[in-house]
Amino acid sequence: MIRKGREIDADVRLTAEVCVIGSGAGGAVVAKELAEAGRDVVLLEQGGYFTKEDFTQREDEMMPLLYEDMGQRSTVDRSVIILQGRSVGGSTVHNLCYCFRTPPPILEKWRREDGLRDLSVEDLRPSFERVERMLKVKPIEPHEVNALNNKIRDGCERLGYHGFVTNHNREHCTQSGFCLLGCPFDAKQSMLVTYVPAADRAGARLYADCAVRRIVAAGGRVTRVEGHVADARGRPHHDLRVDAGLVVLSAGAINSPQILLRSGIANSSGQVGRNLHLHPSILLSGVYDEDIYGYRGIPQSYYVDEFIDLERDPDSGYILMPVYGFPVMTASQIPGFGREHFEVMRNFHRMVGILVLMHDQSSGSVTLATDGRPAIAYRVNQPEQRLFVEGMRHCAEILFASGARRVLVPYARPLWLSPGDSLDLIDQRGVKPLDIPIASTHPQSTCRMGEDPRRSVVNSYGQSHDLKNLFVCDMGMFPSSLGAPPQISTASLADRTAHYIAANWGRLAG
Amino acid sequence: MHLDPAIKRRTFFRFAGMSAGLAALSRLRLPAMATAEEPPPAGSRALRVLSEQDARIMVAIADRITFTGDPAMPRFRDTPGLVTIDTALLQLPPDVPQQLHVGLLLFEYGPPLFARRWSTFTALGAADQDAYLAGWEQSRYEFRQLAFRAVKNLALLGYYAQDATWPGIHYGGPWAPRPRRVVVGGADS
Repeated sequence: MIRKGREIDADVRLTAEVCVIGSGAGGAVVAKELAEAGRDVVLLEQGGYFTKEDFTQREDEMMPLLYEDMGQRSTVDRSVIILQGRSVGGSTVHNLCYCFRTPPPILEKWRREDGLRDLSVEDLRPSFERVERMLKVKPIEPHEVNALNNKIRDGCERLGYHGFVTNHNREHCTQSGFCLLGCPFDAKQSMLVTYVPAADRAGARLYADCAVRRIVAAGGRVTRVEGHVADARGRPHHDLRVDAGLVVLSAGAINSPQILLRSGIANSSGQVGRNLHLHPSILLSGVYDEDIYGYRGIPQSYYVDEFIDLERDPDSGYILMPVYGFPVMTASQIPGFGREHFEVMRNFHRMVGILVLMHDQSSGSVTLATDGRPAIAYRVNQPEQRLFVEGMRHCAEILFASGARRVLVPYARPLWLSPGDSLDLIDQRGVKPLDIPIASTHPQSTCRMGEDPRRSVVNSYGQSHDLKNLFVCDMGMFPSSLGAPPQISTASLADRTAHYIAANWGRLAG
Repeated sequence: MHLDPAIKRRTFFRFAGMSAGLAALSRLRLPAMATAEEPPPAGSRALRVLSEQDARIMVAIADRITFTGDPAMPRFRDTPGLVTIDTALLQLPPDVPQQLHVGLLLFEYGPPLFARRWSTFTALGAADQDAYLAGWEQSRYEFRQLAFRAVKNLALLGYYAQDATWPGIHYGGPWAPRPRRVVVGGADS
């Protein structure tokens, strides 16, 4: 049963064995697995319920539907824009489908530094396999690599940089290229078309447009969830209350700590909302003489890992990724305005984007703001500012090596480079907050796992150290930056948590 | 879309007060203060968030932000861009339109303060408007940069969301065209 809050005209009072908050890569998996295990599950999602018929492939219509704050969520100083999902399926509805298992050196780091001894590759294998089967993960075929990604590959091969074509979770992809705006063909195997319908079939009750304000605990256990049912504009119009024997919080690494902080629970460590990592990224664009039409085809298929070696150093490095945007997104990235701005936009079909994505040790925090929205603080530290510069130089090299006639480094006062220009110009400008757009699609680590209750919020199963019937299951669990695209890791940890809860139900719910 | 969240509360109110003062001053119609006497922008009667005054200022700004110099490209004011912006604002938290309103007043009545021109923004010529906007974009004050970025992003949203602008940038539009969503009083009606 899937209900839209905007169509509900009364207060909602529910009772369930399990209440799952959030329907993205964490929550949808938990809901499906526990419902199939026979548990009575209520799944709450603050965003709306939209399906392929709703996905009009128009930025002005899809950004409000699918993204928090229309894609304008940011740090308090506006230096980093954070793109997060806000609909049934969460960020998996608009992500670009890179599929990577958790890197073994990162699991080893978590074992060594955070005491997570039961999170080895072997421990996680059954969960990886279940998730990948469900999401139909497979290699991207050579003919599916679009012109934009081929440009990046060509540049890397000329320079001897290592990269490869990745796995993805698409089925019968038409290669329309609209992944960022919701797949209008259900080819993308997001939570919306995989785990959520499976949870529904298994009897889970899904309520969209239902925002959780707080989780109430009494006697050392969580007992209920309170919030509101929102109208079509997201304004509260009815009260929501779910009495539950167990709560799984999967609202994402920004909203989950918000809910815990508002509730005043699960924070004996003082770590809730801290240790925020963002995988911050900076985009460079090349302009070519030939037509690329980079917005067509699979947007991301190639992956450059030349500058990250987690075996050697699990604490630093960066990835280079091809990327593309639609007209509004692209126009917003281009500095300046008027005729000069349009002269760049005129070459929209000849542009290739590549971004530096940092495996960040820089960290920030999520706290409560007085206006009810999260206050997100984050600054790129100086060593990573220097790494960004190095990465931006490599991006420019790759673009020129594949034939770009100009490269835009989008500083507030834009830097245009031509072949043969010294890349020292990038070093001279550096990376300063607000001087160059920085974006994040992977906020993480704000409710981190660990075996030491003084340094972490949850254990390796996502179980709160303070409240045994409260679990956190989203990217906030990661003890450190993941250093890889997070979809499979998030879903697999959620799968593992769900199976743990199912196996220990009597003890946990008792 | 936060207009200028980096502005501290006190700063915000100082500038809000300043803009209100400037607006009040303009209503006195001091003889030397040039003001525009244009009719309300097309489509402004259908707006649900922006006031007529907001709309007039927003269109003037957006016309310059999205100026192309290419006669084959539509002017912002000739597109439904304003309605697109208004619809977006309808779907954002209510404090965002409030901040935008204050920001637009600052743009409109700011030339005496920021550019030493005794005129409103809408009454300036195109070249002077461009210079004035560039002053905001490149200001050493963070709040002016952020305010510029906010109105720029709104203008670009309003402009490049329109099918009429796509041939000029070689964008093919939706792969499987569908009817536009109707947003009646909310994000999804």
